[in-house]
Amino acid sequence: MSEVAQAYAWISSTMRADSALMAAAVGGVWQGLADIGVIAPYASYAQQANSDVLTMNKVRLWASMLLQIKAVGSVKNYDALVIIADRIDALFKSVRPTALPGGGGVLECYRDGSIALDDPRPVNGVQWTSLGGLYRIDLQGT
Amino acid sequence: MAMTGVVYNRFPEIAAKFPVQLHKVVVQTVEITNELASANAPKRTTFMASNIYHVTSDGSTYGQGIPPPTDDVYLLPEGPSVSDPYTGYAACAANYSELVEGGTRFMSAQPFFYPAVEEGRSRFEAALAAMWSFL
Repeated sequence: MSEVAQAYAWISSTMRADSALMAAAVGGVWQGLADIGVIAPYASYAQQANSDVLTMNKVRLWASMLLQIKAVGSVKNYDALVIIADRIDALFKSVRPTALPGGGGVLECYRDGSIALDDPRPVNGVQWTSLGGLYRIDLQGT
Repeated sequence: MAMTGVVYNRFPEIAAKFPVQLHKVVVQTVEITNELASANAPKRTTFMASNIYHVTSDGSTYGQGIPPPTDDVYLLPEGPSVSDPYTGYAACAANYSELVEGGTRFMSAQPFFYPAVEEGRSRFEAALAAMWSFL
């Protein structure tokens, strides 16, 4: 199974299981862009970069992925964005080996850097922004 | 029965080549990272792709891309210069590069820089692993 798909599923289920995060992220959790019309703030995740860790004989050991996981919303709700970003960090900043439901597992997950990015133009007259982090996830697939 | 032996001591020679080769690895790594990021970058005017630059103790390639094609885009200030021969970095000068890399509310992320950094890291490690053959 695709390691990226496994990582996405793990991130999504981990965030959805966090009641504090879901209470603040009223728009839900989205892979990449949220649908048009979704109420902000919401949480979003997407792949940023990816490389495989191989043996000398080029047998894949695990995938080392960099994913952006962030809160997105208007600056009017910045307090909620901070809550979401803090919960994201609490969930993913230091994950030790964790088995995944479909087999394989997350070997480690930690933050590689932070994200704080304002949208270039207002949306319906309101400034939007993103707050979160780039997380390194080493995942051994099935 | 006489026995003879010859002792070779190449450590001074190796020590002399070591910093030169290390510097080459650093320069090659930032150059390839720069090239990959430029190649991967989405292109409409090529302003962003052509203004990815790198800085080493040999100098900077900042400002060698095309000029801003419209009034609403510009070059960010150049990063700090580097005097240490074992340090170098690649960077994006176009002001909107981070928005393309990370995405916005209505635009998906189109990563071009972090994948290049990832590949640069792999090549850096491979170059270091092969460096002994140049000493």
